[in-house]
Amino acid sequence: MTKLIDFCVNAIFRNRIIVVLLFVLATGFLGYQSSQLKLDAGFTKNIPLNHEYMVNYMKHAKDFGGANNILVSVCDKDSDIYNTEFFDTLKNVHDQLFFINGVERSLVKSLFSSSTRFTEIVEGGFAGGPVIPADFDSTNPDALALVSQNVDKAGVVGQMVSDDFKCAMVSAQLLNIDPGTGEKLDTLVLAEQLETQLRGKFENENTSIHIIGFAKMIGDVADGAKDVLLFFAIALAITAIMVYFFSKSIMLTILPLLCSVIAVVWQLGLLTILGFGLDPMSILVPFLVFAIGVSHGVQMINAVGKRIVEGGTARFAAESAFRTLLIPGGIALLSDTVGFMTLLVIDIGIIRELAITASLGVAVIILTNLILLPVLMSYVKFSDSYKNKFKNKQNRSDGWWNAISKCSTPKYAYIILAITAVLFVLGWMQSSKMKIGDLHAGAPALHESSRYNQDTFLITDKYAISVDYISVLVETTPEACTSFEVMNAIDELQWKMTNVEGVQSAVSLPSVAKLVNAGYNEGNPKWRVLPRNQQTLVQAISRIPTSSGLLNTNCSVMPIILFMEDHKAETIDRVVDAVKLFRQDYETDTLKFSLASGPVGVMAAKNEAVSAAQDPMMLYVFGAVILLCLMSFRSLRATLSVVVPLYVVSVLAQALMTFLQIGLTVSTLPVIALGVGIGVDYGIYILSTMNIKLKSGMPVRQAYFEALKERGSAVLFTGITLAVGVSTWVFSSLKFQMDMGILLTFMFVVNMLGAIVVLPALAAVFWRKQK
Amino acid sequence: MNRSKILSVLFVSSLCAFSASSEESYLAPLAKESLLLDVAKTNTQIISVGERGHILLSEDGENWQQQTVPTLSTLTAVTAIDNQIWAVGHDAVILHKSAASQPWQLQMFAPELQKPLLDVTFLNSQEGIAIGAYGTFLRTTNGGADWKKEVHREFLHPDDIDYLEEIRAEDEDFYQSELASILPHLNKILVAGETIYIAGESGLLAKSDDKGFTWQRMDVNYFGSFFDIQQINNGDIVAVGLRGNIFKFSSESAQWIQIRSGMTSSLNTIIPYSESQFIAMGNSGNIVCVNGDDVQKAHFEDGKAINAALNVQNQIIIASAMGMKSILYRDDMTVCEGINSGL
Repeated sequence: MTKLIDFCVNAIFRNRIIVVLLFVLATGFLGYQSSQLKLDAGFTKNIPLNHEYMVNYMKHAKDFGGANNILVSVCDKDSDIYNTEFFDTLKNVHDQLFFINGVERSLVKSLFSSSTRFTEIVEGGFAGGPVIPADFDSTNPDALALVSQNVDKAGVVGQMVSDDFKCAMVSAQLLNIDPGTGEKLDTLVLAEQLETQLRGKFENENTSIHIIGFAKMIGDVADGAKDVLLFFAIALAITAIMVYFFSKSIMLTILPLLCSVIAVVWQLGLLTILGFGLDPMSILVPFLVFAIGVSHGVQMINAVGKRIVEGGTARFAAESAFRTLLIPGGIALLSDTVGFMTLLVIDIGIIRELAITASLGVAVIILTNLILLPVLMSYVKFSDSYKNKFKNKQNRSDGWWNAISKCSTPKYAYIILAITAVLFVLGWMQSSKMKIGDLHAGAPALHESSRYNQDTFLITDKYAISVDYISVLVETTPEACTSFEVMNAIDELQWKMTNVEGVQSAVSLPSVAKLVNAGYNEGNPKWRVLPRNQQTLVQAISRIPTSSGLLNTNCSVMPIILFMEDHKAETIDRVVDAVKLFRQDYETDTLKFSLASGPVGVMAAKNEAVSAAQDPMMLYVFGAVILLCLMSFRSLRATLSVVVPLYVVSVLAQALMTFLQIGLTVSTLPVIALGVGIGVDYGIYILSTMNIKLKSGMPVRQAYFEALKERGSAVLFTGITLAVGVSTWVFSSLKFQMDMGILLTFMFVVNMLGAIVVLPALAAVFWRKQK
Repeated sequence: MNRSKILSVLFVSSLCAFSASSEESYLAPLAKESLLLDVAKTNTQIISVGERGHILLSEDGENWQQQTVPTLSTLTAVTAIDNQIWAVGHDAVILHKSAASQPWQLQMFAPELQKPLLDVTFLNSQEGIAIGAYGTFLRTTNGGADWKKEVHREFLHPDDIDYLEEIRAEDEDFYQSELASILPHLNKILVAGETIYIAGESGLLAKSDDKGFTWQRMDVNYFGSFFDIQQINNGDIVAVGLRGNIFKFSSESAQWIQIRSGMTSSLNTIIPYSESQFIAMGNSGNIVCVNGDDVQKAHFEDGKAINAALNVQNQIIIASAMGMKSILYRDDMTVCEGINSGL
């Protein structure tokens, strides 16, 4: 090991110019690449594509469209919709949406689509036509009155017209592939177009435009995420000021920050080279890389500074700091890298992307902060006044460290461990209440007061439908819709599901066929049944086109669409469980009720994937940390001293998530793993110093005191600095970033405390014979 | 020997018919918000019936209790005499409850007929008539223990009678099958004193003065369907039907005279109100209030079809496509004025 380090020291420090030059070149190249990086959001990468539900969903997406839809509600602010200006606007919105790139044109629906028809019963049969006649003239009051009657007859109130007749809906489905370029659809561009070409053009003092759907949501998140740059700058400034107070040297302030920023630049550049974009939901990862970089950078300047104060030259100090920190720093960063890489096993695109983004970033820090930083520091000229600044402080801080080192005396150790145990148990109880999925209506990444969530509330309030629906896909034999038994089974299951709490309404082929059957019987509601006679049944179904989305071309697949009150995890669970229970009564070899399509179907799959991934993820992350600690410390006691506080903190962090009502989702799941990555640094730095001394037989308290003198100030300082930096995120316009800010602040501070307080207490117990 | 074999075959077939009906109600919280098609009252309770075999009982017209009954077939009509209740519906189902403490029993279930029953009435606790699609006419004289089919050619349109006589001369079997499908749907039966009326498809309004054994088709200048027929408080008979049609028959005029409702959607139910006043309600939540020549219109915001209604002490209890609801009315304004003013 020592030989390897010697080799590294010689290779690097004898070729300092070349090393610096290489870094400059690489930074130039990757800097250019990172300037090409784009925000990238996609619907499918948020989906566990191999989950049973999503396999069913993808299988039938061609017939029934996807779950990726857009609802645009056009509302008149004062009167009902039956006026010239409103209908002109509605027509414009319909046409505009139709022409936006990425919209599935055959599935744009509103009062103006020709498929929106009414039927009425007259002597001798049906009469009907489009709700808005071809020769509709919005300036003619009679034409408006006619449309008003047609709307009533068509039964579209609650779907295409709001219950209070002040709004009308235009809905559309989105494609995954851009038909123009044949490439993946750029969701963020589409979101931008929705904003500028719909709301920007048509919202005015009389009319308001409300847009919801995944694409709009992620667009709004991306807009909010642009503030991240500002918060990044604020955090950078705070860190710079704090590092200056810590190092009392401008050069020692600039260098670690510069190296950490270089790490971020490399990471972003590498992402571009690998063909990835940065997802709005992963936008905090670059900041995490910066934070971890600063943490290691501060250790480095701390070590160098101490050697300088002891009288060494810059070159010697840098070499010696490199020598002592390469192993602990490398181990810490490697365990981060490996830990983040384990996220790859989770079969959700966005989490895999995050795994790559984060592990790349952390791996890069090994180069920038463990190699480049000491090399650059070896060029710094330290004045005598710099050395004098620390002379007195050294003695002052020794008093401090002496006091803290009491944590490693048995008396305090047992108290600390008892308190830790109590906290752990309380945290465990609280964290077991962790809910999977989104806990609130609307988009959890955005504030409740955000335009998007306000629009969601308005639409769910004014219409009988929303984007919160789940489709049960009834898979059976071709032409099965002409079988009374099959149709009746679907109908009965639908009725049972309608009665499940959280289901607002439901629609399926049988439920519409019943209405048509009544239509064939002069509109008499007493005939609103499924005919047992096959010819009569066929007659009813033949009036329902495949464009209704209720059957495929040979009616071997028919969805039951369940509109839900919200998409809270417990609501989804209840509905999914009910489907699984009730379908047992109806399923046969040729009749299957498969879950699931629709936006809530996707959420159900995500929730199940997330909850299935939760335990393995923790296992892998901790597995990686434990393995690397064992390899480097060659001591089970040392490894436990590092890992136990880490684990306690991650449980407490989960408890905090339940307190903050943050559900475990695709976006929040990785945070726990990232938290481990943040925390492991502190423990490894402290213990690597201690471990050597303990192996040489030094008493625990002495060893801990020495470790604190060497590394303590850097650990304390890093924890506080980074916590202050991220705590500014509570002011973010994104609820998601605010939540993450609180969680990360907690993890920075509490992990630091874990390393300073709990770790020595554990060591005191593990090495209690060493006095 | 031969005879007993036939009997056992009959027995088996009827058993099969009943085993298919071993279905039982699914007690659903939303039953009271489901499609309900008729409402009636006993001495103490209000009963409503509707889709999926839903039967709801209420003491006050506000709180409804779903009953467990041995069918899932949609029930279209309900009638009560004292505390006995009969409900009929699709799959020719007839249910009976003999007393408040007794369970619901299946008197008939014959999906193979493919002819729904659409209304039922009882003259007394023993004699009853159930009517339905394609001229279905069933009579019981023992409280529903047995239901016997009757064929009444009197319901046929005169043109159809001529046509049928022609084919009967050629082929008796074909005549029978044509008769079974050409007879009009019988939608509503009304007992008004000694006279019984039936309203049905293709402008059918018929009356009988001998408990329904013989019928006379009445002349009316309309060929669409009638869905309800009622006697109002001054003794006049009113029929309503397709496309907002209202006809009134009074002893003075001695003929059916149209009342223009100004409405084009079906009217499904008539509620006698006071003296010469009545209310008709129907599809799309439309309401017509008629007082002599004065016709007022009103509309329920939800636009849901009203299928039947009952006037119980200043309260109209309504069975609609979205379940039960009730409206209170006041003496100082008509029901239509009340609804229009948002009460």
